[in-house]
Amino acid sequence: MNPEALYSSLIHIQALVEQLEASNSAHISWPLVSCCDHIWKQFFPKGEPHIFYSVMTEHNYGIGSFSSRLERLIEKVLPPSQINAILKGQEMYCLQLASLEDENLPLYAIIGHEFGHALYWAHHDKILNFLDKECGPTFKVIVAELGKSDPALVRKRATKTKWIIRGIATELFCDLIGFLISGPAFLLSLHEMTWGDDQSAWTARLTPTAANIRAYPSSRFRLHSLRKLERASSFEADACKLFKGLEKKLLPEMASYMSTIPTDHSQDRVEVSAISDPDNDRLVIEAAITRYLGDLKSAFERFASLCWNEFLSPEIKEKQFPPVSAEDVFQLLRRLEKDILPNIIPNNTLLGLPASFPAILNASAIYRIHVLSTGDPTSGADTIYREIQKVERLTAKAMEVSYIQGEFKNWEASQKP
Amino acid sequence: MSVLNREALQELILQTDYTKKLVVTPLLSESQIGPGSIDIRLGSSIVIPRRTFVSSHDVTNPEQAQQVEKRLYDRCRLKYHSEFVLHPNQLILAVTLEYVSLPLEVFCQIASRSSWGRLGLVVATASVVQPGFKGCLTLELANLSDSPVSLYPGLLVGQLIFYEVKTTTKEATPYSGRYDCPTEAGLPQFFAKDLDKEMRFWGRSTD
Repeated sequence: MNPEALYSSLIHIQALVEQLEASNSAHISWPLVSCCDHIWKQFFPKGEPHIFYSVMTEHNYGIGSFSSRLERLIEKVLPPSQINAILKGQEMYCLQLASLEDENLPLYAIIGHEFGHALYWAHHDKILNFLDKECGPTFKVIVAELGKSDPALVRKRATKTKWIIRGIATELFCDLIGFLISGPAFLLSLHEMTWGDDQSAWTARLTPTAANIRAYPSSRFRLHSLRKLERASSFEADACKLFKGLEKKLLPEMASYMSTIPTDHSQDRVEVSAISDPDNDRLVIEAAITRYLGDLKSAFERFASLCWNEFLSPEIKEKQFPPVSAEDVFQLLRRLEKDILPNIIPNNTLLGLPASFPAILNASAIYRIHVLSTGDPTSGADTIYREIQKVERLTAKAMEVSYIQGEFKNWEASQKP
Repeated sequence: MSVLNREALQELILQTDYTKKLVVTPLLSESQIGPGSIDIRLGSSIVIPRRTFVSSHDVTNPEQAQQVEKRLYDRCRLKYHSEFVLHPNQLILAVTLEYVSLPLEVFCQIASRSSWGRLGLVVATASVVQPGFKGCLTLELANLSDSPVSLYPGLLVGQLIFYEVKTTTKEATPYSGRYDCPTEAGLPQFFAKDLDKEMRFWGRSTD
């Protein structure tokens, strides 16, 4: 190995070491880690693949296969036998969480999406079968379209288009998992995150290696796909009845807020960009996908429906990740509107019942949207900002104490003879 | 002004009207409610004063007061089941695990629990909680003994004593303090209230 290559490998390994070093409780919200670990065990009960948690430098969340990354790095500096001895054939993921979680609440509900990526990689054969079944015919038509411009390049462009379609399907699948874990809060947080963005663009970025292509459906299509899930409408129906009991001005109206989120995707368009594009693939692929975008959307909707109904078993949907109770969310909103910690579901006892993480997340997401959408602009942005900070503080503390309450209860039960 | 006993406290905690309800949450055990007080726990957020080059804290000078607030402390988050050692003569600020919401007719005081007090641990010096207050309480933990004391988040370190407040008007004035629903250990905030401005008068520069 030449010194330059060795140096480059060591630099990248150092970045990996730093990721490991950031995996300590000083900067990570440990109640969030506990919650994530619980979710992971529900998806992977046999303990494989493994996961650890680290801090992300960006204001975001991300998941990646740590073992694959390590393998790619050390394969240049170590022989295969030593690599096998280190990795032992085990798969290990790293979920990176933003540091200072108290100030990063809008994204809490989005974490569910990241679990979707791990689930996708663990079951990609099955999920790709669904994708082939639903998107295969449209893909063939698009390939035929690509062949019209330059038959010699059709194979390369078809491969890139295939990875674009896979990328989009992955995102839609991960959204379903996010919604499964966090409920309507996922939809609300996704909606909030896209404020100010172009909501109608389907984007793809071509890379020299086709497998590294990243592609995303439009925000409106993503929201539309989630909005039509039965869980969203049944939560809204229950909330409409219950939220009438809330006192704060315009808070009862938040029950039907999800219906008002714009999901009209009829004006969507495709934007393909490229890092290096000597054959002008970008424009040809963009034109072909644009032409058949309508067909692709229908195919993606059928794909999402298959994933929700067939990939996610009733056991997962009803027992492990049951729908969020609108009644619980209502009880927590009653507390939030009075500036009280949203951690307890009252049950006429002195201790009450600790609220679940999804219930806290949903009450918080609804209250946030209420503050943001009904805040009086004449009183100044500072007032709204302070109010949002307060909701974030209360929610972070509620997650902490409801977790501790649950742990303490389990410990107490284990002490009884 | 009378001290609220266990039955009165339980009645207030079970209130369904949040404007009249006494909230001390989470209560991990009913036995936290004593005959005339509620035991409270150490939370996970602490603030450790930093020893600095500053000769003294002169809070009558607004610029120096700001230094006190922002530069002289380290904020830490303790992990549950992990030890924190409070050394002799060390002072830290720590948040309670419990979030408290007092109705307008209730006033409260923080006190040390006697066993800890006998070890030399003082848990609160600014021990008054005004009617209508909402938030976690900041404890000033000081080790007055000669031996280090091991602390863990979740330990019962203090107690709240509640008093009924007599109001003369139909609508009592709600609490409006410098700390808005805090959930972390709070730093001192001099000059946050109009009343604090008079400190300029008492200090060395009276301009």
